[in-house]
Amino acid sequence: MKPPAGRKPLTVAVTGLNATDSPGPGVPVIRAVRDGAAAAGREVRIVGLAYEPLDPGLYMPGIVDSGYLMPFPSQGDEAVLGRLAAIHEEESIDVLVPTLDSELPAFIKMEAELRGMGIHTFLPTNEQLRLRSKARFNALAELHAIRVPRGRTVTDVGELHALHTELPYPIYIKGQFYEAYLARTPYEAEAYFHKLAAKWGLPVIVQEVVDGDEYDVVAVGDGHGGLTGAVPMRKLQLTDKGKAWGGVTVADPQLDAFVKDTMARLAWRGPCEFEVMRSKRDGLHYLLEVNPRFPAWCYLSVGAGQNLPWAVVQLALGEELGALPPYRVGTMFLRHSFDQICSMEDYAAITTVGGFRRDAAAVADAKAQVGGDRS
Amino acid sequence: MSGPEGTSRLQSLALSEKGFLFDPATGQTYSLNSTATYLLKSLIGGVSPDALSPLVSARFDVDVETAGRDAEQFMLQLRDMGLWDDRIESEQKAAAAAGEPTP
Repeated sequence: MKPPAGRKPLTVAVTGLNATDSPGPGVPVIRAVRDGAAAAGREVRIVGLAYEPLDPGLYMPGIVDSGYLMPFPSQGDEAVLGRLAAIHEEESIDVLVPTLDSELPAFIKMEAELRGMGIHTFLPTNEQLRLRSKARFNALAELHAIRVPRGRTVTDVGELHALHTELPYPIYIKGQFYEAYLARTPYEAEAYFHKLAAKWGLPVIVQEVVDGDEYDVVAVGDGHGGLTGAVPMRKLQLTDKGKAWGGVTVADPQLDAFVKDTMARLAWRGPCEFEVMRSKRDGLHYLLEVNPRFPAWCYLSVGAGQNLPWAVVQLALGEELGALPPYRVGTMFLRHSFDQICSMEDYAAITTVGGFRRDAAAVADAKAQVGGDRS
Repeated sequence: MSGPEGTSRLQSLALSEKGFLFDPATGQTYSLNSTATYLLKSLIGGVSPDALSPLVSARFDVDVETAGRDAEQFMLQLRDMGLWDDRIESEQKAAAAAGEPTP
């Protein structure tokens, strides 16, 4: 049941609607896209793509117009593409904004196919995605001369212990996908090595500690080394897992220059988050991590006057972007979690038929007005 | 670390009359008492550290020795906070020599 021809609003599909102890970026991206569309005088429909029926973003008022369950990426590209095609048949998606690390390789691989279907994306290349992975992170220094903490990948305990002269304690022991622990002694390092190897596989990453002040930057690269926009922030409060639960935008010309230079070297296409440390030892900035999608705090960019998710939608559509306004320094965000009352009807629809449309009645009315199907 | 382009580090600081200080370069915020607020405003306005104690003595009606200790402590705290060092001092002197208006 599609909206009548000639009245089709811009339809944007967004993933990452989960929220356990740390919310996914989907809801803030959707809020930003709605704000951007409203400011531009454009009608927008949001299609929420979820991996779990209880993802809270599906149920929040004013967020999604329709919601669908997607197969996990581990079920294979064919399953993902097939499901997306079926949803597209219903929704006529114009732009897809993925927001989760695990789904990016699949969507990047099928970018051309999606474009052929009329679904536009603005994503990095697979090589860029691999290069910023934790396992290959030091290649950023070797290939692109980007300043990163010294690190090595190790595949056994012998290699780990042999590193102590090159990387003295304390050191970070990191899983290749997630988690990092600070090891102060060889015993701790060995214990963390086994824990991470068991959970995430090999290799395990060993990285020097750069002591200093951490800044996170939400940025959009144009794919040619240019920086479409960037908003840096300092975390004001953290969860017990070190995630930002509050932050403030900052203005540091050296940080700005480092971000611009890093983007020029990476030539990143699409949204990302740079985690940067300003070292107390030498005052220089070090790139700690590149997250290849919008972070959950990305709505701060809207609050600071530089709507980066809306910019990505426009870039995906090939629209010309003027220069984005400078962001407002000193813009704060504080996160809150609240209990929302949800519709059992939506939950029933998601779990039985895998999707729902909130505006189905409005679409049916519009169809009736133009003499559509009366069945 | 300098302030945003075109401003010195000190001039980039946002200091309210009630002593709320926001450092936009780091995102740090501080609460200053009335003496510290007066001292920082004076520094931002181009007063050199050496000239602070007589100002404090006159403003708060304390003897010069006490005022000197307060000013010295304040400068040490600024250094700890990363808001004063040799480079920032040079910036401030250059700004004063150029006769730039106080913010």
